[in-house]
Amino acid sequence: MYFKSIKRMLAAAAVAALCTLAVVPAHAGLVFFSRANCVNNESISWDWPTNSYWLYTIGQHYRNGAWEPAIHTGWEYTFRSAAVHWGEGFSGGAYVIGSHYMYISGYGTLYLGQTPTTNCNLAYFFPYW
Amino acid sequence: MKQKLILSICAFVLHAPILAVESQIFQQAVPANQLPLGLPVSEMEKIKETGGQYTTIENMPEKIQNFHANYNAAKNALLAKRNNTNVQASSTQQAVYQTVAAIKLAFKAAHIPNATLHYVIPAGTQVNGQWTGVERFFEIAGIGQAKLLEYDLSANKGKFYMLKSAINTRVNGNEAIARVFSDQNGQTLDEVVWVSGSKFYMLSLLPIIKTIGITQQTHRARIVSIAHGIN
Repeated sequence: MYFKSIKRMLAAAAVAALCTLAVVPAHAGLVFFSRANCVNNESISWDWPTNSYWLYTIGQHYRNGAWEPAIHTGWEYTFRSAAVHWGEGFSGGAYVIGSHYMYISGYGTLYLGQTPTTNCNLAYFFPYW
Repeated sequence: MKQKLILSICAFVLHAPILAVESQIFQQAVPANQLPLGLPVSEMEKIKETGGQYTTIENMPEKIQNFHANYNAAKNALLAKRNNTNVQASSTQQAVYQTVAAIKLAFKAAHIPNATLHYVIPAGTQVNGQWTGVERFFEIAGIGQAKLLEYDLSANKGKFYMLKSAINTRVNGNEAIARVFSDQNGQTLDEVVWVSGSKFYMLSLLPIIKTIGITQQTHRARIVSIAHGIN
């Protein structure tokens, strides 16, 4: 069982690496999304690596008839905040809700909103993630 | 004519409370210790130092540097897109455009008067294939370069918890926070943040003319007057 988990994590990392090679670096504003039941079950807030923000992401996953303990990233000053269960997407059947927060220094906390999903249709494969 | 005027006033009076309530759903002024999820420790220390109020020009050259960096990144990304004919216009890898019409938005982007649009960048997330946010770099003739960030908070049940102590102005009746940053050369970046209806706005202005000796209140008045025209 341990070996199976390692295999899934390695597969997830390999897919991520391939996606990195496939992408042309680009510029976009801060984006946020969740993905489920493909590779990882995850909720991510992301911008280009040259931009950092105070970000906090919470991932809640409903699998096998129950809610798993929520993933809290905590406040991080970063270009990428990710609440991830690596490789969990391979087994399918999950409902993922992301809650994305940004603290704008001196102005207040922007709750960007929720990103509920059961798929990985928002295929934002960004580099350096 | 008189009748039209009376009807207009009635319409405004009837709608104003509704608009105010609608903004309140997506915006709430709270003290620092009641912001959701707390604050990073270093940020709480900053608020303690300033009392969470902004009445002077703040020495933060990185804000000016960051504006230039993002403007140039958008410019270079658009140039790269034009030179790379193999990339489809709808590809998310080359997410800089010259018009709002080129991207699918889940809301109507605000009109920015007297502005020449340079770059449009989608932001937020996608709902039914439509973006919930947009960044626009533009120029206001005779005044300077600017950036407007908009998020439609209704799309994902978002909300802006505004730092109550920092509120120092209003934009079209909505509570707002205006700040002025400067670098060592006297270049300022004027900024104002507010929520109107279901939309969060952050307007940043890099004025052409360096205004050494001009007060923060004067800068603030200018950026707020520009914000008043955005709707």
